[in-house]
Amino acid sequence: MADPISTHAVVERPVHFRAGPDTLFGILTEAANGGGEAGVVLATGGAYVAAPNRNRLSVRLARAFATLGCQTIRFDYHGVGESTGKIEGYWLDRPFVEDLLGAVDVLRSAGARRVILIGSCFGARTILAAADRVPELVGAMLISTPVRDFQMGDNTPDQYARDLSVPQLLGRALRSHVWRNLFAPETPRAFLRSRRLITRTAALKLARLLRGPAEHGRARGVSDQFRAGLARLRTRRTPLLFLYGRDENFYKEFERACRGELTDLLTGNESVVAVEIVEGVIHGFTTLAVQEQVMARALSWIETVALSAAQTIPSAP
Amino acid sequence: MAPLAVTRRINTRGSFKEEAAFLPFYGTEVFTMTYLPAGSPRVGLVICSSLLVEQLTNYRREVLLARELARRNIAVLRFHYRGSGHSQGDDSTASWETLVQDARFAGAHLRSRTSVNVLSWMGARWGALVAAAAGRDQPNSPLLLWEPVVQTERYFQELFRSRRVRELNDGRFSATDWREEMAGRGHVDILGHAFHRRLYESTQGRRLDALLAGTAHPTMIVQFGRGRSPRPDYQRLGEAIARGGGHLDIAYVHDEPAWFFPGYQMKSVDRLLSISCDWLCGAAVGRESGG
Repeated sequence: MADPISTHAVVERPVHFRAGPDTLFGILTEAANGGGEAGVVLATGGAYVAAPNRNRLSVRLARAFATLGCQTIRFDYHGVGESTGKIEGYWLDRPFVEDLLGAVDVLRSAGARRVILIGSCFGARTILAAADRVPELVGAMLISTPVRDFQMGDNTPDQYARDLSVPQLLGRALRSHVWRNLFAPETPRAFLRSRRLITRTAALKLARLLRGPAEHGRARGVSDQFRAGLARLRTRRTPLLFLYGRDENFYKEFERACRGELTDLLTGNESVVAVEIVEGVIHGFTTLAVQEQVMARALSWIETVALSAAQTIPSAP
Repeated sequence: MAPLAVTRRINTRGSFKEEAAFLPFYGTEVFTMTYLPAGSPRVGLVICSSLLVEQLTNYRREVLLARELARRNIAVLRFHYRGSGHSQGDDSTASWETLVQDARFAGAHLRSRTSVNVLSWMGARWGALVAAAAGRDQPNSPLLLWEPVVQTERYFQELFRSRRVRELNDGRFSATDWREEMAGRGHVDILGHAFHRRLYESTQGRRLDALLAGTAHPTMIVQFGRGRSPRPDYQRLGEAIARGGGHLDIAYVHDEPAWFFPGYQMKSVDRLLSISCDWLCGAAVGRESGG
């Protein structure tokens, strides 16, 4: 999409910063007339996607935030884009907290006194895990946040293993398109996807059956880490915006959790925690229409949060 | 061409330095990452990325290629086209001409930052066409191509097919044909990336064989997939290059790069990097002093 910001309205500078053993790369964006006291960190999801994000969504957000007086850092996790390091996979219960805190440090060094965190999927879960280590936090926008724990690529197998019984799983495995994909696939990719879905679902179901009902946190479906992160932010009364696409599974699971396991954390907290829904699927930002909706929501929300936070001093965690 | 903002990192063994910068160009700023070996490199490489979603899916592989070559004393420059990635600019004004301009600008910057005698070019997919066009004025320089697009029309068909597959997957169906969408809005949504009319129209009819005609680049194509023989379009390209007195090497990496789908990590990245670096170092031998 067109870059709506004049080249002269914003200043961008590349930065390297440390996070654990790795050197991460990011871009700090601010208004040409100087960075404000509000700083935003943009955390991408966990699909090896570099800092610009799909269709430069993070670039466009950062430049738009600069016009509101916020400085913003977009960065590559370790093992991604321009950063050093390696990633062996993404597990939602092993978020990259050090990476996010390193980015927050860059904002601090640039003079930010209030911090706003925005992330999607794995990035949102990283924010939930890291938030209590950011005393300057004044708001968090969590986009398409999974409530379950699973490894990237295991979303559907994990969901099947959790929600379906063994006879139901066998029924699914016997469907004609599954057999076609295994024995007469139209593309190698179809074969690989079907094979992986079956083997991972079987492995996860078996693990679940062997584990039994003892591991309550996972058996219920809502991650213990998700709950703990939300509870800490609730205690601090940090403004939170959950943003989901109406058609995505992550929303259905979140909605179910809101009526069940998360009720105690969300009820009576409506002035601080907002849930907004846009049409379609946000996860992955795979359409221009959804990107425009996310841009619009993020801009209006950040304006509210940054301006209202300017009147108050963030409370200690 | 003084950079507006720079950050540098020296790798752990001190064998090369990475320099990220925004460079002023045509009233805007181009994001570049230059890899400067500790020695005095005589060979340089400009990496021309693909566009749209492929710029994301191949991003890390290009970074790793640049670092490995820098370890082998080859200076490398990666850049983001104006209106893409971290660069500034409006993507709706990008065209075939601006892509090639940006690549040549990157090459000129690498020459100005280093003392390289041989400037070689690398392009992935659509970037292969850009690399071939940008390198035409150095007809003997090595050209490394990862699964290059041979004709833009076929590539566009692939793009539009990927959009249809995504729609079917998501249970959505566009009410309009892509041609109507492009005519009406000036762009088409391809997997969440805006493919603008200006780029589409200015790139139509581009062919790799035409861009390589009259040159004698030592060229290597890396072909992905299961096969161990050249795909028909690469076979024909090799024959055309041979008729012009050149030579095409084809190497095979038995892996699925998943160009349109971020999130998949190739298992054979090490092999991809080693065959690419070995070939480039070999192709550059003897040319360092030639200019």
